[in-house]
Formats: sequence, C-alpha cells, structure tokens
Amino acid sequence: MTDDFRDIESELESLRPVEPSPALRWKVAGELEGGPRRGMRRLVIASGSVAAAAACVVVAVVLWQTGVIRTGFHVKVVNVYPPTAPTTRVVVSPRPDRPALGVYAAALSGSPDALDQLLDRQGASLGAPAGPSRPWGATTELTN
Amino acid sequence: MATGDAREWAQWLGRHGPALLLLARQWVPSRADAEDAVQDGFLRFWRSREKADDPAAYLYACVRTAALDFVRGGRRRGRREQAVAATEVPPAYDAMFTCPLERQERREAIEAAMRHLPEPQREVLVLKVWGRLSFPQIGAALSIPPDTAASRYRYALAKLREQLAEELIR
Repeated sequence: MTDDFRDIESELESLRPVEPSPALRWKVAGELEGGPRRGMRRLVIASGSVAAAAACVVVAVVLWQTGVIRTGFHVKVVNVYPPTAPTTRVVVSPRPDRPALGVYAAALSGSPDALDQLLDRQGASLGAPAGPSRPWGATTELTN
Repeated sequence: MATGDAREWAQWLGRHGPALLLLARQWVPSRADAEDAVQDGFLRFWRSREKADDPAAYLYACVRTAALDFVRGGRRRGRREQAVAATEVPPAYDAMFTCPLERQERREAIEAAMRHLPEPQREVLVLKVWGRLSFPQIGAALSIPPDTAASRYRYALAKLREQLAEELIR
C-alpha cells in the first residue's frame, strides 16, 4: 500500500482477531475425521431399511397366496349355497300311454260321464288298482 | 482420514481461523453463529479444495458464502422467532479483536469505525489486513477485478483514518 496509509495499516495489523473457540476445531474434526465411519453407518442403515422392506413384501405375498389376506379392505364372502329351503320343480313329461290334456278336456266338454268313462278306460289299460290318480300325468320331483 | 491429512486441515484452520471468524462476523454478529458459519464454510472448502486454483482465496470465498447463507437463513428464522427474541435481553457485544488492556479504548473505536464502513469495503479490508491476501486473491475470492479490490481498500483506509481522527478530537 502507499505510504499515505502506512500508519493506519500498521495500527490495524497490530490488532489480532479473536481466536475461534476449541469447539469449532472439535466440530470440524468430528465432521472430517468421522466421515468414513458415519458414511458406513448410513450405508448400514440404508441396507437394513431395504432388507426390511423386501421382507415385508415377501411376507405379504406369502399371506396373499395362502389366503390369509385377500385385499387391503375387508371382504366377507357369504356362502349362499345350499339354499335355505328346497325348491319344487314340476316337470311335465309326456307319457305315450296316457292321453293328452286335450282328450280330457274334450271328454269333459261332452259330459261328465264321458270323462268318467275315459278315466276308467285309462285305468284298465294301465292295470293300476283303483284309487286316486295323479292328474294329467304330472310328476313331482324334489330337487336341491 | 490419514493422519497427515488431519494435520493438514488443522494447520489450515489454525492459520486462517481468526481471520475467517472475523470475516464471518462482518455479516453474523454473534460469535457462536459466526463459528457455525466458519465451520460450514471450512468443511465446504476442505471437501472441494482440489478444484480451486488458489486454495486460500477459495477458503475465504467459502466462508463468506456460508456466512451469507447463514444470514439469509437467519432472516427466515428471525421472522418466526421474532416474538421470542423480543422478550430476550440482547447479547453483549463481543469484541472482534484482542489487544492489551491499555489499548481497549482504541480497539473499541476501531471496531466502531469498521462497523460504519460499507460492506464491500469492510470485507476487502478484512481479507487484506488480517487474511493477508493479495489483491488478485481478494479479487478471486469476491469475484471482482483486483483493481476494484485495491480501490475499495484505499477507500476503507481513508474512511477509517478520518473517523478515528474525529474520535480523537472528541
């Protein structure tokens, strides 16, 4: 610098800036000298996290496949089989040995006696004992 | 870290630590906060010093940036903690320099005069007098031409001398 400022420069240079505290040196040392160890610790933590996540996925898949869990939300499957009451199904099967409905209707339209005669003939042709007959050849089956 | 490497960073911090702390305190008045800024800046410097053309200039640039970052963060924190800070007793002013007891009054006058300097002049003054950087190094640290650094330095000295002369008259 020029001699113009030599005096003030000298006075400033005679002042010594305050020293940093020892804590600064410790902190810097901790950061720089503890770096590799801290990096290794971070690596171990990251690896452990990944392994734990993978294990959770495997357990979830196993539980899914074994049916312990199905979905994320609760689903209750109601088994509606078998039905609570048997149903009755009427099967009308044509029987060649019995007259059709139209024959009975024609006999009835003629006279009641004609219907009786028709029934008597039918009973004689089947060889069945006399008794109540099932009307019009209908059969009843119970089905589940 | 190798022992030699550890000794090397300690030498850097020992040699430049006081000037770095003084530089940081140009923006961060609290000594403890300024030390945090020095720590951040020094670590930044040490981990990337290989890419610097001039390590010393780069070190001061890193600490300066860390101090400015600290101030920006502190302003954001300050808004949130304004109510708390208002109830606290303001901290006593920490001296920036050490000197014999008989010169304490003069030291206080110099520190007060420095606080009145414009910031660009003050940082050049610190880097030149206590950081012992050349003007090209100061230019590299502050990203300004060396001539600009030199002129700021001259202005700073002139103002300091003027203010200190007024102090003597009072």
